[in-house]
Amino acid sequence: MKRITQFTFVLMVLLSFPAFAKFGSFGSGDARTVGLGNSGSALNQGILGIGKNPATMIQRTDSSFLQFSFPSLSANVSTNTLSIDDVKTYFGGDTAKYLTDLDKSNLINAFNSDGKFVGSVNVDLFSIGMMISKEVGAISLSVSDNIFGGITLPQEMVKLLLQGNNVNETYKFDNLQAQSSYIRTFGLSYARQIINKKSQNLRYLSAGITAKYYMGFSFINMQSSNSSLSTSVDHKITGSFNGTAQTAFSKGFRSMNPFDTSNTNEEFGFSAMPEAAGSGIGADIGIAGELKSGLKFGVSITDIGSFNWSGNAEEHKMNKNFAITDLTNQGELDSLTKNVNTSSKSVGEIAGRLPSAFRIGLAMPVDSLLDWNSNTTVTLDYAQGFNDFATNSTTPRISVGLDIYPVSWLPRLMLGAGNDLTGKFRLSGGIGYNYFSFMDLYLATNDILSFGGGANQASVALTFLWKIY
Amino acid sequence: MIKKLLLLSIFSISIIFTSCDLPTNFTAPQWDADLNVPITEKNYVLRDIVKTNKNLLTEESPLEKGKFLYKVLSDNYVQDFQIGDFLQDQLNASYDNLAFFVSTIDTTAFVDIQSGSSIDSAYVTQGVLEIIIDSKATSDVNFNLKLPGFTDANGNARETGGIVPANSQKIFTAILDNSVYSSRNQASSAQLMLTLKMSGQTPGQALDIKINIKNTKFYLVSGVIPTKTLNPISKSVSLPLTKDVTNFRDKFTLSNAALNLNADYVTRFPNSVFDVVMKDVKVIGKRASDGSKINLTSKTGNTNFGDFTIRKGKFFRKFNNDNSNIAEFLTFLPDSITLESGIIVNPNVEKGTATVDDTIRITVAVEALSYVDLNQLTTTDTLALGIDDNVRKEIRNGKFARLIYEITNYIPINTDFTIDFADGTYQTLFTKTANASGGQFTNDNQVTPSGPNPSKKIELTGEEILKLADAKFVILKTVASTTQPSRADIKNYVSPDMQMKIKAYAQIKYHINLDK
Repeated sequence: MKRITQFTFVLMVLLSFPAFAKFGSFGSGDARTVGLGNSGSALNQGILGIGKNPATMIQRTDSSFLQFSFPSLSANVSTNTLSIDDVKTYFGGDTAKYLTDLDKSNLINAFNSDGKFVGSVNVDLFSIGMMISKEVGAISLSVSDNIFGGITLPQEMVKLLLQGNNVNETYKFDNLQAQSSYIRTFGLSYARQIINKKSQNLRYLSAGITAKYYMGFSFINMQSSNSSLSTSVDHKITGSFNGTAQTAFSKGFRSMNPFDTSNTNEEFGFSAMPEAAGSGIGADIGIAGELKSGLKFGVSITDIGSFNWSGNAEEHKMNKNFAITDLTNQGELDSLTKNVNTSSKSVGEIAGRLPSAFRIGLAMPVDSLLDWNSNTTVTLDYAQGFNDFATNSTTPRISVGLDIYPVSWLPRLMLGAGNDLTGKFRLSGGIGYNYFSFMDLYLATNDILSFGGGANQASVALTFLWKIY
Repeated sequence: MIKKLLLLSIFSISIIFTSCDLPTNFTAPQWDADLNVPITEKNYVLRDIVKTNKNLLTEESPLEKGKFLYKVLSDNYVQDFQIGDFLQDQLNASYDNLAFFVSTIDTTAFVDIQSGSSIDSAYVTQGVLEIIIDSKATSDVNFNLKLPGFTDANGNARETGGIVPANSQKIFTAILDNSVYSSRNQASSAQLMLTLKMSGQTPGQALDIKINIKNTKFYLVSGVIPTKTLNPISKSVSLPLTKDVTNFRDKFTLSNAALNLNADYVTRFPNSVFDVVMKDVKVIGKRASDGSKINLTSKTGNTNFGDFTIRKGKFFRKFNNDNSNIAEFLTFLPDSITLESGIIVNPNVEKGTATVDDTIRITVAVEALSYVDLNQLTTTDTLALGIDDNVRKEIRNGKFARLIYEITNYIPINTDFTIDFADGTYQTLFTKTANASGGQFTNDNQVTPSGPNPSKKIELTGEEILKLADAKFVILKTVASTTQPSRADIKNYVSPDMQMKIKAYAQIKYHINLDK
């Protein structure tokens, strides 16, 4: 029961973010991919290839005619700051912990690279794929919700909060950011083998494409610039805050707009098919193949296209400069809360960014190297986003994985390692079961170190894959 | 190997579920943050703090051009005394044993005004003419007396008369109330004219007559009235000293102060007033609390300032440090000032006009320039701490506070503060002290400021901060003393242009509890 409560909590935390997401170079995938440390794109087959490399849809190790996935979801909360042990230490329990100077120093150090908190949920609402033949190809239809929320807290903000304002020191908050988005993706995929020459070094080469239609429901992109707080030697406090934000919300989500100026008092309302606040079209294209040596490879570019937010699209600017020189001056105190220069204006459209990314994946069976018939495969993936938004990053993601499946009646074991969006190195793991060949169940986590509490991530992914022969 | 894989699988499942091993209860931590906040930085110019009004003016120093000082000017404190007694009995006359004879012809007689007055005109509000006739005639006499100088409201001369029986005495009276007196119908303004008629059957027989005019009172008299000494006066002017002001007693010295004494003859006929002499004037200050007194004296120590003559209705005398001990007198801060003197009206026997309502109005006012020495001048103020409950709640989060203040003070007054923080029953919870050094005089009588360094500080412990949150009153006691110039010829002064710069900031250890 406790585990269920905790699991529910994780989901609630994720859902408490303003919005979420799946895709992008650091997006969460299905549980099998998560278990392999987000590598294994070359190893994927069937509908599990959707979203990473459509060409792998054609790869099959079974003869299933139809595959569909339900349910399939992954959720991830991670930070580059506090480990779960830290959370337990400082935030756990029934009584408040009093922070000593050492505690404060530890917490500040934990935000050394600015504190990034990201959460994402990917829910495959519906995925179905049909294998016609390797020559004719495979087609699939998928609908998935990608929800993302991320906040970056500058270390100096934490330092100010914990230690107070030191004299003759300036605290800069230029890197304060908050982003969230909720996008639903409809994908129609097709893949087929384009080369099939088993006698040569290249056993086969397949190509695939996914045509995508995106619907967006909520969007926030806020960041600060030229923002700081200074305390002079004579204790005068000066500060400034400059921030810009772009927002777009569909009806029913408008109440979540922190910059709302409409005063409509609209209440939050969720429906299965909300009215779109943004839309776009795009495509994933990829090739995948296998060499005679057994090395599988895949190259893809995902989410190429355009996206625009148009529903209640607004741009907001905030500007506030203040100086406190005299606490006895009521006018000065009043000016702290007044005279904030804010401006909001409706804009027809906000050019959105799709999480376009380039991916290369390799998968190599290593049984012969190990001299052990364990059905073990090593995977290596490289993903490079073309922009920095949500779960996409121009910082490359490099991940390796180990897929072990010695006998069919035992669970498949997946292990992986790689960097995550917060810059942390993660060790992931998962298991997969196959029941009577018609159902695969994958359960994985992005960070197995959470077991010891030393990790700063909570992650879980669950995928059911159903097969019909 | 299979066993190992089995264990690995179990381990893997465990990992997945324990990856969600977050605390079931979340409680925000608490900590202390060191806040550095500016409290105030102000430049107080005395002119802006001590505003001028009708009692507090600014004036250029008579000693140094270009230097402006405060001038304290009290209200005028007034006391009147009447001099109506001066007009009593000025037309009284008395004549005995005048011998007249029965005749058919009217007889005119002139009698001297007893007081020596030479009255041109008067309005008699009261008076009686009494005639006692002792008749030696052997038959009745028909007697009539007219006073042509006294007329009634219709212009008719006052008269009296009747039958005087033979060989008998008869008394006649004439009421002179509300008569108008004029000497125009008489030969002399120094005498009263009488017209007598005594007819009878025995002409030549004698009548002895006594005439007595008495109890004459006037509303108005115009003429020459002889000098008259009235009763001495002892008139007190109360000064409205509040309790706060009495705290200044014996704690200050005014180097340039004055007491202005005005005496005005108040009358409806200001162009023809009589001179009045206030003789042997003494000015005495009295405290009501203990009855103690102080005399205003001349520089030689004489308490008798001689005679003050109110000539043509005006007199003014300024008692200052050049002619009196006024500094000492005012430092005594009397509750009242008493003026004692004799009163002599018309000392030079001059012509004038007076009415019964005429008064002498004595006006006292104090003025002082702000050349002042303060000596341990103590004042106490009790101030309500108007802090709402929310702020008190915030104050309780304080663990330690240090208030650091720097004062640049041009005002030559050293001030020590004792600050008692008290509860609702005025019981002191804790006490803090502070002080501000005053500016120093230079040899050219300028002031160099004290400070700003070294800075000073007031520290509050956590326990005191909790008490501060409970405090309802602040009892502020200040002890002020002027800084002493190095040379005796330099006078302390306070100028409205002097200023005090205060910079204060605080270091506060603040307890942060996000749950509250």
